[in-house]
Amino acid sequence: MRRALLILALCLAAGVALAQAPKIKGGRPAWAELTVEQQHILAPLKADWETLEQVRRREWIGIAKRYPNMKPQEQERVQKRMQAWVKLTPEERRQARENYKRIAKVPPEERGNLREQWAEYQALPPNERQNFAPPQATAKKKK
Amino acid sequence: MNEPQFGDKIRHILNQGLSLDPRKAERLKAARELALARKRPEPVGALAWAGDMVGDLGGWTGLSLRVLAPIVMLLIGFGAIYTWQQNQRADELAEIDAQVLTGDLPIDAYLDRGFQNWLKTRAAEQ
Repeated sequence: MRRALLILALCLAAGVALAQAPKIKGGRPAWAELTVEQQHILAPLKADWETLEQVRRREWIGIAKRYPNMKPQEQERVQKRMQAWVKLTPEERRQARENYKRIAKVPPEERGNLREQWAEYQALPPNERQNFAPPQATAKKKK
Repeated sequence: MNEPQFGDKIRHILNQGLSLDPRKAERLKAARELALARKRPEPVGALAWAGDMVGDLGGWTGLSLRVLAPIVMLLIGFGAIYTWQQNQRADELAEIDAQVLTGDLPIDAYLDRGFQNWLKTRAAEQ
């Protein structure tokens, strides 16, 4: 009787394992498995979707979940930046996230208008901009 | 009464045979049949087959079953924890990436080492 229970438990376990397998293995969910709404929001990623690993697919689904709560201007930004973001290397994304967090830590009144400052920086002559980017760091970034 | 005498007596009684009146005999027969009819049936079908199979398996893989079952359970446990952790991580990344993607600065600005240093210098000057 105990053995029969054991066999039953094993069969159940195998069933659960099989059910879990596709999720762990990666490649899920496929583009076709997304809801119509998710496909609509993530449309710029359609071509790259199949190359994304499991975690990143889940991440984008997480972003799609937050999308309806974003302001129209934010939604527009997400749509514009999505493709560039997905094409970055993991290291570049890590770097961008770190810099974002660092800037976000500064109180808004001290931070000033970031868009204006970015425009100001870009307007600097190239040699002046070069002063702020150490050569080895630039080389590292390009890798 | 010694032993041979006692034996003779028993033999004598046994030789006489059992004399029951037919009504008693009939009632005993009926009771016996009723008891047989109510007897639990032998295990048949799936259960008997499973029992046999487990018995056969127990012969040579009983031990490995006892060892395998916990291992399989453990693996499933690890799988579940792994999946849960991946989901947690994906959710954390989604949170921060949603902020980067909606933020005031374009992605290039966060990747531009020069701009980051320029911002730091400016903050230090002020």
